[in-house]
Amino acid sequence: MTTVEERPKTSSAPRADLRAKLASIDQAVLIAAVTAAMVVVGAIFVDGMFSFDNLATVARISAPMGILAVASALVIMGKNVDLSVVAVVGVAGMVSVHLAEANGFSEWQAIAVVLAIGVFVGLANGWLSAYVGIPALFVTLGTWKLVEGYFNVSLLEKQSYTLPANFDVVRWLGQGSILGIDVPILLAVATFLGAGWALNKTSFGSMLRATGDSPAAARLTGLPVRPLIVTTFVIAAALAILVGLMQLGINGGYSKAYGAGDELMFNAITAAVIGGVSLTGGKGSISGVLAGVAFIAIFTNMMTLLDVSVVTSTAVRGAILLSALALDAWLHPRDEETAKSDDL
Amino acid sequence: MKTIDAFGLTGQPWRSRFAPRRTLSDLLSKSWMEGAVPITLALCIGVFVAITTPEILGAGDRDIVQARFIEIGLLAVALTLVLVAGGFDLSVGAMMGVAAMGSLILHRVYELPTELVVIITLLGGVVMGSINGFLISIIKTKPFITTLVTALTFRAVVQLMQGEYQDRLVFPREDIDWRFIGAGKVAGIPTGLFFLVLILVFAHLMLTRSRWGWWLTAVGSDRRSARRNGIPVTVVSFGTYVVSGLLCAFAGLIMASRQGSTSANVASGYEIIALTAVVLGGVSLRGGRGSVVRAATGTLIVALMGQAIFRRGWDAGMETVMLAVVLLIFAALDEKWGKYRPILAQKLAISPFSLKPGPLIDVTKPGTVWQVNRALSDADAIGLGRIEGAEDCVVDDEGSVYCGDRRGWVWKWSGENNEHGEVFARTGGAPLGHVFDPDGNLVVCVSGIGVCRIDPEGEVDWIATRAKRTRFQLHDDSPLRFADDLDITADGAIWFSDASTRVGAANYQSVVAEYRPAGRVLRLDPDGTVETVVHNLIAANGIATSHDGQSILIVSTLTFRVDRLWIQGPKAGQMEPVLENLPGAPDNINRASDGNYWLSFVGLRTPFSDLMLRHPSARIAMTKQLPVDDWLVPQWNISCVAKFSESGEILKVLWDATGEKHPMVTSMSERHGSLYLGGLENNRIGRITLPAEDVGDIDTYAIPGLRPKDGKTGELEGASR
Amino acid sequence: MKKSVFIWLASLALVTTGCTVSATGSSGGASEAGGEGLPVAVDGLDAQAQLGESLAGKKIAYVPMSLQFDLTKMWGQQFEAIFDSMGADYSQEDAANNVDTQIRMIDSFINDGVDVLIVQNPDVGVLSTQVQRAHEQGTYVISVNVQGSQSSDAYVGANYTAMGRLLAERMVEDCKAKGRNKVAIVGGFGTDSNDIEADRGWKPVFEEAGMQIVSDQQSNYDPTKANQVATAVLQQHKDLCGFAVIFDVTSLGVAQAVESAGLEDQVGIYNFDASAVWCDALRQGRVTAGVAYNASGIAVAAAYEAQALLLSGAPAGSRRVMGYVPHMIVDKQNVDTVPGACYGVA
Repeated sequence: MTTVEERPKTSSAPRADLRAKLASIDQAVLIAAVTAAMVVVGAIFVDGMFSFDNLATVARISAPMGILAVASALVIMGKNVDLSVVAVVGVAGMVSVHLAEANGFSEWQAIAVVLAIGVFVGLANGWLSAYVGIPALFVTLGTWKLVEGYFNVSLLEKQSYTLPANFDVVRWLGQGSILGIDVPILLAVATFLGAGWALNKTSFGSMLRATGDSPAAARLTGLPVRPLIVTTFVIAAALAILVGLMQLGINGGYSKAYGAGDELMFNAITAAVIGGVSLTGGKGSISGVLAGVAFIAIFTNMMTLLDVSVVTSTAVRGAILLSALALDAWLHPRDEETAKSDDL
Repeated sequence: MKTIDAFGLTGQPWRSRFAPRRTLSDLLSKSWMEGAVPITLALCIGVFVAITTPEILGAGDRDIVQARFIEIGLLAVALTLVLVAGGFDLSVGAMMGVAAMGSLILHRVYELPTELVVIITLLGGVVMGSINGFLISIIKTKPFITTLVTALTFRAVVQLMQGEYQDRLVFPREDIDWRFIGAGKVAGIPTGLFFLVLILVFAHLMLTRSRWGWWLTAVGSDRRSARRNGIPVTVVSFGTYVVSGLLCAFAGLIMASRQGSTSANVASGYEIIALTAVVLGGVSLRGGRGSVVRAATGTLIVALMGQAIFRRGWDAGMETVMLAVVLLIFAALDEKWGKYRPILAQKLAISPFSLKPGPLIDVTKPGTVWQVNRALSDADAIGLGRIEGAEDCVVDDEGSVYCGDRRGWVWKWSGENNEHGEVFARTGGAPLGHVFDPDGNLVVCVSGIGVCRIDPEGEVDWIATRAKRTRFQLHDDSPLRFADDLDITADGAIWFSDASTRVGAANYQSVVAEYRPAGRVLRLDPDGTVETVVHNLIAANGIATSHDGQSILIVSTLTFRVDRLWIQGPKAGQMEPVLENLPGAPDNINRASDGNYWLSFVGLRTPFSDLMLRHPSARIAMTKQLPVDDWLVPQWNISCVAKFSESGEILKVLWDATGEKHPMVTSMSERHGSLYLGGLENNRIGRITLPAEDVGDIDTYAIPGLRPKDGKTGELEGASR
Repeated sequence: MKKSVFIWLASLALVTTGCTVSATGSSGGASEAGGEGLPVAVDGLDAQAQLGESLAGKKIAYVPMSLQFDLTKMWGQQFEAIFDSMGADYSQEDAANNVDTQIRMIDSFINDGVDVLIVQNPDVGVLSTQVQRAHEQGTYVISVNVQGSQSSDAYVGANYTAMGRLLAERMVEDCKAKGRNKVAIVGGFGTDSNDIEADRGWKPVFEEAGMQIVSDQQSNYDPTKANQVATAVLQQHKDLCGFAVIFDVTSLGVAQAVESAGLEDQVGIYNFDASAVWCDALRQGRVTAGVAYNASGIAVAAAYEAQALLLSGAPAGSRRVMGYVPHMIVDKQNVDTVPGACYGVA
């Protein structure tokens, strides 16, 4: 908080002052505080909310969302966004189960194939957005619908598949535990730590931030901007495959989703954005993502415990996300001098 | 007067008129080419679909394709407007869903009259659009993510509404007004289609012909420039979202009336369909470019595709797959085509012409009239170091010198020795040719703009800025890009040259590299009309009325010749050569006081430059591979002025053999017994006093055939002699 | 402008009323070949010939919400078997769960002039306009599973409300035995007719028996979501008696949550519907009980209705009938003996 005092007061208007103060606070801290407040309120008013069991369960349930949030955050830091992860998550479950049932693939073979598909989708996303130059939003909107539609149309014969008996690794991913800690939680922790290390301690992280901050400047500096962007998409797709396999293990099978199933992806992006990963690129931290994930997870859990209908909670979540976006825009106003028209 | 085609002067066959590279470049430069390629491809897809699955054009499917066309079409118009203004709206389908569900509730549950339902629903659309607009335009959140979230939220609202009213919602209410929206007809056209066409026409006119449309395009193309030009960026962008909400609400209304679906998933997935339709129509995702008519065409193709997939018995999920593929392909096309079209047009713009020049006179051979001398070497300098590139100059009765400057100024150098310089007028272009009209105004040819008249007070009045456009030609030749020199005839007409219909003076090197007939001579009538009298000249340059006022002398710099255009007498309307195969590239031409003419040379031909003329492909390679400064062109660094007689005989040649004072002489003007020298690359105006044998008693500034208004001019000239 | 709109409205009124009346009066193609049904006295072979004649070349189309589900797929297989053997021209389309696509397909078939349209309503209000239009065109409409607000020529389905009631009664019975009184509901979208009708069935029963509904959440038929909801509920209410769940996919997700919480012996899972996959789970003891209806019976009954309509040649929309198929509780004891339960795709 010392920065607040050091900052020269440019305006005496209290509003601007408040904004400067708020903007100087790390958004991660802000959202973590709000989450903590929510837990406190929940502990007092909501039955069964503040128990170790419940919080552990929340952590386990939201582990896939957390991993996907990290994936989204990486892509967003490079000034892009990946909507196609939702399709890739589906593909992991769908294709591996299908390969095992219909073609008798072993578990590792099936995993290798879905991983290859994931990497391919990531490469395609990266190539189309970084090299061809189509805005990532449209690229990943297209690949999302394409991958989802293609595999839905072409692959599955049955409505539900149970987890093949020989899928031990997948089962372990979803249901296993080490020293009493569930594997999904461990995987999520590993992902957060790995991403935090990569972003803060490696040149990859610095280059990615620089790229997201200003791709043109990064390119002039000689950074491999386009390979970096492709890398983020590939990592995101690979993490999505991991999430898909985890979910396969957690659910003990794969069912054709009757609904759209895109909630997971929206939650992940929401978590990253409210955690301070700005959509303008280059900004944000992995601890912020963690805070964002915690916020969404606790919020969802509270809504369920309070027995608020899913539709209502979607509407409420939408309102929260809109306020988060508005707050972000207010705290980090768009510079009208450098703003581009096609900055979507 | 019929326009004379001077192409014959090049001596080239008729087929050389075709310049495929340049034609392609012209074609690519057309703004409508932006959308032409995507829309052509889209139409090909449409035709392919219709041929392979002809059932979709049958009477049974027409209704269905049409209904989809109407509903998606309204969304496509909405999306186009938002995209053109540089935004994005992913909530179109959800807003349509809210409107569809809301209007059904109003109609079935609250049993409101149809008119009221329509009004409330459309207002609801405006409110939803305002929410998007408020967040994106005023709070300045990011459009895509914002509308993604509002889409999810609106969708949740549909579900909440459906959940609340589902029991009372299921029974249709018979109401003829209500059915009119979805199934009625206006003037024989289905209601929805009628309104869609109306909206399309209106939106198209607004987008292309109104200030609002220009604002929209400006905001979408470059936000910063738009803001700096005083365009209310926030209001414009807010407006697009509101209109988007309104159109989506209308689409929802039509859908609700047509199919009366009470499902909470009504209109889901319409976003991607509308987006694909819009991209198929060549609307750019980067903002600033797009047309609602093309978007509607894209919509029709998407509607046909959807029905064709059903008719072929493919899985309905295939429709999404196909749409996604088309979206990706056309988004890539938009990106690449948008980027490479102007680059390609630029690359192909120079299309060199093959020319076989006549025999070259060797000026270095002693004993000829061309013998190099030092006649110009001792010229006095006017405005030394202060002038930058005065192509031409004139001298008024008081002896003040007026000359141009490449910075757009017209200088006036007054005082005893013309030592007092002031910027007399500012034109904004590059003043190249000057002449006084009988009223004492200065008439100036300004490259990049046209012809202006500057009164003695220095007030600039533009008298010609456009010519009539040549019909059936891709390239728009109506602007006067390279107005070069001019003269006036007794009838008050101003004859001026336009060295190139393609580039201005700043790019004269590309005219030299190309050597293609693109110059012309125009006549500005006293009534203000501009007509082209001669076209297809290569670099039409100097213009001078002949001493008898019966003809105009026209210099073609790059064909090294001077021609005479008869404007009166028995040969009126004919051209005949005066000088051919000159050893250099002639520039300006002016009358001399002894009844002859002065002609300046901007450069000299060399055997090598002549060789280059014969090999256009070598010149293409040159323009591609060398920077402009290294291009192989005639020898520019020369100062040479020649005097020739009415019959075309070279009488005398004045040189500056040292080249020290005048690296280039592009014009000369004789007045008061002196010869004033201008040069496009010079930092001065030169003046030499002419020997007595060169000075006659003709007033070089008097318009031939026009009696002077008073005897003053003659007296002054006499006095100075 | 306003005047002309009124004129058009008026003429439209004339046209539409005219259409409706005339179309209902003559029943299109269906009546021409069909005749008046079987004569009073008939030889077996003649009757067979007459039925065959009334179906030969008739266009019959089946448009469910989606063909990706075992239930609708199985119906399709049965329709195909019956109508193909009778020489009718049968086709089916997959609307991929998109209501707008389904409506578009139905509209296309109506414009094609099919003779019989078999539809699965997404919910009661959705296809009203289409049924009306079909009747105007002289097309018979048979709805399966969900009755629409606009009566079709025939409706065949399960009595969801009664099924809900039956399931709830079974739950109450089990809960009383366990001495617990908390139940949780995991529904589908919350807005589809399965949900609504099941709610109408089981909620009054729970209320009457003094059971406490601790949670009523939607899963959107997504097993992951169902799993999460159930996990959260179990955290809060470890003394839950059981889950009332709609559809197999959902209940498998709930089962996974119960197993993860290690409560499989204490918390029951009661499902609406019983498919082959779910029956497998029942045999493994992962779920407790379900209410099964004779799913394949729906297809058979619908096919019968189609044949009867074509044979009778009655004008479309002139005779509106409905009927239910039987349902009963399935649990581990009777799973292999309940007729029509544990349906699956051939």
